[in-house]
Amino acid sequence: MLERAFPGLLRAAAGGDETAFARLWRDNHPPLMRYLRVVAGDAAEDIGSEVWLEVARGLRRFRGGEAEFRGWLFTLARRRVIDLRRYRARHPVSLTGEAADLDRTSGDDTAATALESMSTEAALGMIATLPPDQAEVIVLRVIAGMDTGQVAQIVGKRPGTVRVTAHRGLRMLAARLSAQAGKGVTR
Amino acid sequence: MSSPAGIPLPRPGSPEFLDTATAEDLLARRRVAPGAPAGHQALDRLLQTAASAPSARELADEAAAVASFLLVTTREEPGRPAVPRPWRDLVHWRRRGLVPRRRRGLVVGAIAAAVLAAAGGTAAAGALPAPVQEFAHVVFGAPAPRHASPLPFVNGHTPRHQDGRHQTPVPGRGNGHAHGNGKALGNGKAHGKAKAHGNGKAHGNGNGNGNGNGHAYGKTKAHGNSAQPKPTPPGKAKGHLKKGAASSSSASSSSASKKPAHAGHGASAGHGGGGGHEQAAVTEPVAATGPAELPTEAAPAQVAGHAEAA
Repeated sequence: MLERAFPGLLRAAAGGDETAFARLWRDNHPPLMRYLRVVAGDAAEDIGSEVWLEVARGLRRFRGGEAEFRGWLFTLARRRVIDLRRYRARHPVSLTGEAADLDRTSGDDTAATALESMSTEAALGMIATLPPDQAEVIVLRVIAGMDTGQVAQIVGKRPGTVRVTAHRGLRMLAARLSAQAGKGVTR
Repeated sequence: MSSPAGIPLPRPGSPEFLDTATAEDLLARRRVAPGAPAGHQALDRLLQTAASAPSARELADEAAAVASFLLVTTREEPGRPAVPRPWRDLVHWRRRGLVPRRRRGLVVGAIAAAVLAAAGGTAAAGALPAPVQEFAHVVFGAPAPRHASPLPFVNGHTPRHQDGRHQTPVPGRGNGHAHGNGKALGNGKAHGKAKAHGNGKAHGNGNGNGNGNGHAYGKTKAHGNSAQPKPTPPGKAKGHLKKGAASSSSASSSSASKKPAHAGHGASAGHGGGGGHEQAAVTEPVAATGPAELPTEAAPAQVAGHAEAA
């Protein structure tokens, strides 16, 4: 987080300073891309580029602090993801039998990989096996560093709903990790 | 209770169960205690990894992002939008609508109120098209529609409303109102009313004011009764005002119509006879011809009319 440096950087970037924009980009792009990898999968790179273009266009009109800027960024990304889902729903791609098998993710395999190497990609893959709403809320809270209120504003739900959704997702993740670690889960 | 993958979830109270406080700690990236259950520790490691510092690979696109930024900002210099303003506004409107969503209700309400006020004002002024004005007259009590046929002159004076406007006869439907006003000479009112029964009545009151050295008041009443009180189709009943006197006299007349279902419509012009004279003790409610003389015709099943004339 840039904290105190943020207002000056925002002003400079809005005035066309590419160095200031690069600082903003370095600070916000990685969590944005991790979020998009969880919620949009393969389209993450394209959506990320579109979001930053929109940010560059709208930077002069933006008013607010760092938290608001991050909220704006993730809101733009979320809208793009929703558009993409709608597009895919209208234009479904039918895979052949083998391709569908190759494309299918296996939660157990991903969990095992996450436990072994625990790379960022594997951790994100593990989170992505959760139901979409739970995965999204967890990523926004943990990776984007937002509090419950901000997440509720972005996803358009009440804070209590967001909290319960996140807790359910974490419990599910903990159960899977326990099972993969071979330590029996108490029933 | 189990997860969608078939893995059983720990129940509340068991050591493996992730309580709310621990879940909030994990979401806030706070580490769990070293003695926590293995599942919690694994979850902690997973979340810490997911939120770890960015790798070089994740930042590799910085140059491309800055180039895009420069492209956009040089294209969109302040004061010179890259996209022509009208087109950009059009796109903006299409996305968000002409009116912000929160204010749409207010705008719709304001427009509806303005339309209602305009319609009401027009109806009150009697300026609506005749059928609409007629409807407004019947339903809302707006003034009746004006028609082209002028009132007959009565004793050389055009019947007027009290405010001096010319009277317009009402083609009697249910009610016919006609007001006569003799300016400076007297006031006349005539009301025509129609009812479905066979009685026709006409009342004439005439009040005359003489402006001069004296005042005169006249009042006349005329009553018309139909001879055959049958509820019948159109007809006309006439009530004739016979006499008016300053001392408030009244006279009654009988309906001349054989079809009593209709009474005449009252219209009268009254004249204060004392106008300009020293003493106008008696006003002749001269042509308080009462209800029947007005060109207003009652529609079927309309009967009573009364007239006040001065």
